[in-house]
Amino acid sequence: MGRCVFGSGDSTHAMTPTVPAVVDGRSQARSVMRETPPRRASRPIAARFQPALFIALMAAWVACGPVRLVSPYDEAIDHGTSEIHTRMVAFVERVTSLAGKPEGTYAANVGFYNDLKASVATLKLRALAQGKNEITVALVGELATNVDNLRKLHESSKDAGLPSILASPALSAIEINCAAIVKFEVAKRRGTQE
Amino acid sequence: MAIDVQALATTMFQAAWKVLKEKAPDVEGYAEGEFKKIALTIATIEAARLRGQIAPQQASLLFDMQKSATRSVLLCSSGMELLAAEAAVNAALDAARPVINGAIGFALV
Repeated sequence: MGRCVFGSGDSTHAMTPTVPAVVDGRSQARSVMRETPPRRASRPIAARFQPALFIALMAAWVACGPVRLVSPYDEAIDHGTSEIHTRMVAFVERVTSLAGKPEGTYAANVGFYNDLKASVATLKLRALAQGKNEITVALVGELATNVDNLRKLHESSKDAGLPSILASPALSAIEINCAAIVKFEVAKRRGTQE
Repeated sequence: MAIDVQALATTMFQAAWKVLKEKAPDVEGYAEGEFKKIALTIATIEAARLRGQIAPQQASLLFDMQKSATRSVLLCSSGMELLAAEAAVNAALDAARPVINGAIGFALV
């Protein structure tokens, strides 16, 4: 064992040997190629600077402000969701009272679903615009799914409109969707204040 | 056979709580309350279906809606867990601040 090479024997990326190379033509040529400025002198300096480097890195880290794993509180998401919830409750209240009448049919109320779909899409766009907001994006996606499910329910009952037996469990699920978005957003605000 | 609302709510909550209690213990009340609502709604749908008040396709849509609501509860709980982790990291950094300032000799951070 005349030399200490890390990696494959013929590799040009082999590290500098720590023991003298074997005296043969090939090995000598290699050891000449590896004659780089001595590292011995730089090592103690690096060691001397390690604590200072660590402190500097920590200072830079701390100075950068609080670490964020979740996007900050967004008032538009909080208020937007609350507004969608208010519109949903008012709509369901109105159409259930009109169930069985022409004004309560899906065809007579299709415009509401289109408007609501647009509002939820805007909310999702807003959530997507912020980084580290995957959970809110997914929560708004669940709300969008359930708004569409409500539309399908209304459409499926044809002239009967949206009777309470269908509307009540549907609204209950949508309220849970909305509450989850608002609860998470309010929790983000508390985290910011703390 | 009618669904036992309490048993269903407890089963749902306990399954989720196994994971949540370690990572987001603060959501216990929220998750338990929401799972109770979902269990009650599932029982209502089942009763309406048995009475023939809703069509199978409508029952399916309503069950899908409860599944979405359940996912929302779990997503929100995961978010709470992340917020708790964020608070812990920032508390550790705040604790490091005097040590760094002390080592440097002036109020750098």
